[in-house]
Amino acid sequence: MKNKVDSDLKNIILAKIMSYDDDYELFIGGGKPLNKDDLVKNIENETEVGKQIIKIQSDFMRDLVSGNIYKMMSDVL
Amino acid sequence: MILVTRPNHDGGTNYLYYWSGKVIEETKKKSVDVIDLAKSKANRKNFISYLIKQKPSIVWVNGHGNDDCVTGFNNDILISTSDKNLNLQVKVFVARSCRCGKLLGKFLVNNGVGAFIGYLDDYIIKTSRKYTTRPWLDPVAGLFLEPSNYIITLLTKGHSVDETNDKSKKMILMNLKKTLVKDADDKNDLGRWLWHDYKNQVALGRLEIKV
Repeated sequence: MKNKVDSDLKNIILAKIMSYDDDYELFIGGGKPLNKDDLVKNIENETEVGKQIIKIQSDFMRDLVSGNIYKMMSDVL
Repeated sequence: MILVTRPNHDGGTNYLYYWSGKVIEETKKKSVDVIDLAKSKANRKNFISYLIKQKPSIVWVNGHGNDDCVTGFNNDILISTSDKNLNLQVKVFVARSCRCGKLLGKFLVNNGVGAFIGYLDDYIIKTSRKYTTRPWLDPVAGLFLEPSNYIITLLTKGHSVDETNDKSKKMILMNLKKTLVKDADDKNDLGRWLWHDYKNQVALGRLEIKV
């Protein structure tokens, strides 16, 4: 199915989000902050926001593992 | 002269309202004229009127946005890619708004604006619930908002758009580094969102411009 999220990736990210403190709060563009439950529901339901969170998380993990982030940070004093 | 918009009609814009206020105070102390369209004054009628009559050299929009527009109070569209005949004479347009780097930024630099700094995707801010009633003191939000505040500080100090964007992005990286050093597992997950904002901040147009 087009745009279907990899279930292993989704579960890894869900596990990460579930480890957040209960008062976790994030603004992703909109006016209302997303709390931990909001993030979990959006990911579980693969909403547009949920897919966006999954992409951001997986991009970060990929860039961390590839060394890209440390390479960029090494330029910073 | 700087034209600033900073609505405060919801949680997200409220954070931008207070944090941009800090830069406005500092900028006024440098004897730079600031037109501050705050709260409900951040509407299209005021924005377009000041844009055309006052011809500010810097425009700084704080608020929600989309690929093709930026908005003000109650999401009133301030300017969009439909505004084809405005004869804009702005040197630098800075948008602390989601996604408008994709289409609006390119449209602006092709229609009279010298350069644009903004974001290709959603601008993300992690906040701390302890500071909901005092957002201007939120140190977690500061990791995200200080680098984008720094854009205006640098431009008013005479740095080029290219230098400004570069230094602002380096500040995000410094904050990312601090976060990872303090919390190697990034339990608070700040790193992911900082990295996202870093990758999506762009400068378009004539990057050598200085104000």
